[in-house]
Amino acid sequence: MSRSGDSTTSSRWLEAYCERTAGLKALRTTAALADVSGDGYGCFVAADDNTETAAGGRMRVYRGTTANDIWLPDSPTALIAFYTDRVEPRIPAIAVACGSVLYIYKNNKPFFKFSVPSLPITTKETASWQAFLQDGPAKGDESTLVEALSAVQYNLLSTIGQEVISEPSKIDTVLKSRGITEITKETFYCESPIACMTTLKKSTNDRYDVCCPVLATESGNIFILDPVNFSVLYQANVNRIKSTPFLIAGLGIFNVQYRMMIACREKHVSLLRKDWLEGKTVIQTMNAISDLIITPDDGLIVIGTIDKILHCYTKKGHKLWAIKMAHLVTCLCLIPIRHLSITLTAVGLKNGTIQIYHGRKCVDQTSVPGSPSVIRFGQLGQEENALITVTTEGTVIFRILKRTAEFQLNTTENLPLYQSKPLPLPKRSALFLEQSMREQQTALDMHQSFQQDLIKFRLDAARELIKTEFAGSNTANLKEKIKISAQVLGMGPKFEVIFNLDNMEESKPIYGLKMVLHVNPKYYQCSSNLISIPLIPPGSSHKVKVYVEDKMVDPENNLNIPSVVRVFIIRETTSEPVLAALINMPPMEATLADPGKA
Amino acid sequence: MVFVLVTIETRLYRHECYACFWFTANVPEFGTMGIFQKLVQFLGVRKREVNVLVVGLNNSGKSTVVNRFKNQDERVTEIVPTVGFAVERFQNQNLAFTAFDMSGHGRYRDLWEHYYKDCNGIIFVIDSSDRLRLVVVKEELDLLLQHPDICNRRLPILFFANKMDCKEALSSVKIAAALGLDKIMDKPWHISASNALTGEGLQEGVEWMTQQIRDIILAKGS
Repeated sequence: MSRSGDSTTSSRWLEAYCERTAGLKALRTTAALADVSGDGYGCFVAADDNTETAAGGRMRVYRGTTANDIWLPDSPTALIAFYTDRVEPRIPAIAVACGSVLYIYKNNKPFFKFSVPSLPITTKETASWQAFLQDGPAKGDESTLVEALSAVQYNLLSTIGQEVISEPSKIDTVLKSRGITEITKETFYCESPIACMTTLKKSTNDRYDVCCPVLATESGNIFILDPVNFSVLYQANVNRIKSTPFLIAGLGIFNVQYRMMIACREKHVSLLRKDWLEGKTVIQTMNAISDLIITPDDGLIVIGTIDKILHCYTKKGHKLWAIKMAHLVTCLCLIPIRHLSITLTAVGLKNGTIQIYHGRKCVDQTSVPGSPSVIRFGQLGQEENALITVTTEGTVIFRILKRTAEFQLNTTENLPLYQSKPLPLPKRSALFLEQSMREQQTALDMHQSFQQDLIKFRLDAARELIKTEFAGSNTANLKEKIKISAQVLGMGPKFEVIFNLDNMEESKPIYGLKMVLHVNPKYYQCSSNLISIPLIPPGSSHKVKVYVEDKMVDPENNLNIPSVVRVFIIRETTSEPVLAALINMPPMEATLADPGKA
Repeated sequence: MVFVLVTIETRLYRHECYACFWFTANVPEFGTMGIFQKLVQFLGVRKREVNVLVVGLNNSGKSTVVNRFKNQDERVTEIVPTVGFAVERFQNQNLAFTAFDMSGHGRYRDLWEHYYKDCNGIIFVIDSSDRLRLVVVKEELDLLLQHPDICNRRLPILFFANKMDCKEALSSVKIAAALGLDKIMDKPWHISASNALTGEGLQEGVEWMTQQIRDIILAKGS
């Protein structure tokens, strides 16, 4: 029996049961593991709306491999299992949220029903409706009504108000269909379906302790219920801004301290702590969130987003790491393995892969047929470490972790990033203290001398620049190692300009060059504007002779004309000139310029 | 070897280890016995003592099975989950059995392998109504058969497909097929459906076991 060999070569999971024809369309929120009958035999409970007959839903209880269906009056949105009391035998309650009603079952039998309290509408909304309805039904000014309703916070609006806001054009049909003529408590109320649920331990952190159910409604209200009589113990808002919760995870103890993370459809995660009346946004994501979990030991928040990224944040919302996954993250699940005393995270991917992470390190991988829609881990039957997966196609898969399975964990690698490397700060030496003291005492002098030096340095730099600008007519290209020099001969109006091209390269000849002369045609005329330069061997030079004639357009203002000739050495293949030079033409002698007058 | 074992367990189960110690002191040293003594034993003049290991997953009925083998007046009325292991003694056809009733709980299954060396036979109890964990049974059986103290020995293995009265119970044939018992070539094995609550099927199984152990000892002795 080689343990390490077992865990590396073959799978760590035993395939216990796979039902491809289960047709279970369970969601992330509608599945739980519970000891339904209180006999220590773990059952898998899932709810879906996949009914062959009429509208409604069903709750399926897997006891071992045999399934048992219980019909629900409406489509379920969330399911939780929790202990309501300490009476022996310990039978947990299964609570299923259908619309705004919570149905509680015990031992597969209906036990209790709880309705989310409907809130009265705000005075602002009442006033706006009164203004609209005073002239009789559907005769008031629609635009002013919509405007007035928009001023009210969306999740505080009545159900009718919300409908009107979302579709202002259908205001008549909305009112007519309900026969609304005046404001009554029965017609105008603020009600919202339960979007997601979680449980919160009431007084101790024991695994079998009594838990309070926590409901989050579509309108952004959080209700914490008493597990015994199902009255509202605490009520809060998800956030100040409009938020539609769809996932909630809690950590802590209701009577001591707790924190709840609520993922909202508005791409943010709100934090709600004990005694807070409204939550606070701690995480803002770029893309929609697909699933969220909190690790129990350090309170880290792990989030999968639809851009195939798995994020991890601290409990205060600081980002620790993010991993780009190969496929879309569909669901997450905590895997607490007690005998190894570790908590892993299962990440279900769209292509049917389930990756198991310890921190940011992938320690195991397994796959299921189809994309997993919900993963649960816990006690199933007599087996403590069972992994249950339901795929979007409705396949139910039970897997059991091998007793001998080990996960190669390297603890040092899994430390959060910000702790792993301390900043290399030097110690404060005596010299450092001395210098800082001196800096404090003579701060003004030091600043002035520094400024003086800086100005001097700038002046020097400017001087050097001017020097190079005006120094000589010789221009050289350092890259190509070619130099041009010009000589102007003659008195005018016809000048002879001799260019001397030097190849300063030691071994390479220069070829394929052309010379372009650029002059203002109004004043000057060249004998030729484009001259091809033959190959210049390394170390030698080539002379080009050009005649430039002054046209003598305006002899009186001779000095004013721009007397320059621009020379460009170009290569045909490139647009930038290899070399450019400027030649200042000498002013013409007036006597020579106009011999006729003289 | 048994002494080493006892020291291992002392730390965990102090109250159990005394029983174990006391018992081991009574085990005859086969190796040092003369041929005459052996002959005497096999003729039934003196009772032979053999060790059997009772293993299986938790809640499969190991303690209940062992309880059934005991005399009427020694039986306990209520069976509780075994912690660690328990030592029980019973007789069958002039053979004194000492059964090591191991705990089947996941965290105690590590203890099983310490007893493989000294046992003359293995009783593997299976909950035939627990279809979900049949894979776990197979995994544990494979680990047992691959263990160096087992794999090269000709040990008789008796399987009890227990809880045959349950309505979702699998037949012994199906369990044998699911566990791949037909692949066990080098060891004699036998599977019998049983109901440890009534004692049904137990006698048949233990008689087979007695016969097998007798044969093996005779073969060794000759």
